Amino acid sequence: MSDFLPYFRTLPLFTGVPDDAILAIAQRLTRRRLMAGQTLYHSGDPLRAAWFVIKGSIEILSAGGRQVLVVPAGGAICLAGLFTGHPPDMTSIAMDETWLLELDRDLFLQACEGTDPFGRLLVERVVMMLAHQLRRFDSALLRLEASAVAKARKKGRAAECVPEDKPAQEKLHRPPPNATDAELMEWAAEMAKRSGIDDLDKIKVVQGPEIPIRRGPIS
Amino acid sequence: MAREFDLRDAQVFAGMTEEELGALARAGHREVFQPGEAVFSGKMRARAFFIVGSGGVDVTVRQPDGRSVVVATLHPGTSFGEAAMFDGQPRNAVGSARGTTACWVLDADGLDRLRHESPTAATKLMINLGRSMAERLERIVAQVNESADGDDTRSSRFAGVMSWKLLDRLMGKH
Repeated sequence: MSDFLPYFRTLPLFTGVPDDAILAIAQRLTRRRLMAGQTLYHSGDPLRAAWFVIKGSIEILSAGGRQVLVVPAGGAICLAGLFTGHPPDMTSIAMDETWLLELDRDLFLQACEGTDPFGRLLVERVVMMLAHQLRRFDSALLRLEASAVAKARKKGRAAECVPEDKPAQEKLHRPPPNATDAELMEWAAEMAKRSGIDDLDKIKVVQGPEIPIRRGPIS
Repeated sequence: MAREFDLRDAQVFAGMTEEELGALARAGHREVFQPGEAVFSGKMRARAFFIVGSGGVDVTVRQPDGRSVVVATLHPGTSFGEAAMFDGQPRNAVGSARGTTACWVLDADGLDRLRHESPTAATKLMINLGRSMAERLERIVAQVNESADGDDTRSSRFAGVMSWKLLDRLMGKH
């Protein structure tokens, strides 16, 4: 594992962690290598681990086969599942040769129950990374939601847009059903503008056929 | 006046013994806010986790054009600031008291005291907070996915894809 130490040091998982603790934690994890196009997990597979991308990148496809996110080196996959155990509802595929650190869920749960200081440090680091992921989603969703509320208020529909008993972050705005192309583009431009994005052209909108899922063996 | 929410019923304190709850009580503190008073804002109380005991907290987001919009109201029993307590980044929104509001507050110093006084309580709290954040994250992702793949109307697909693209761009800004 020590030959990978320079890579480990760059991972947010180990930010501020001394080298001896990094190596002690890394020994509890499994190093994995995927080739381009190889599947890490399919949507609906039992959740058995979370992964930290050391090198390369992983694309996340929705159940319908659309690419929704790309996780680069330093990113983490399925952290929430370590706590909930829910099967992933998306599919993950290596975009190029990719190295990962695998954290087995059973081992993580043992660390949660145990008193081993390195196990506790691992749990704490995972919680911190989860907090960071949630913060990024929350921040983006709050801005989207605020734009939707502002627009609705303009039309005098604020009350129906903000149910008081539901966190705003969990309610997304949608364009009108059966909208024309022009209406859809107008809606998208308004959402982008209200969210502080001034150059809509930089957002590539995929409206073509579904992206086929490249099925590969799970290594 | 309505009875204050019993903190022992909070999900993030699940599985705690009486001793551990006592350590938590000593690590955190109760704060009362007057109507309209800021509960959190920007860097103010950035590293703190709250549970609303009574009253409520209006969450406001400032728009690029300078106007503020209330996007949610947090009621007794609701916890917030889990993520902020760990990363210490400035708040994304402003929280202000809706009427006289009491909150239980645990800040980073309090968490350090808890780690020292009761490591088991600190670990249980950490795990409970992790579970709470994990569930919230999964709900958000599921909802965005539902937009992307849920029904087959073109506008829904478009909304789903746009949601992910916008989220991706917005998340890249932080």
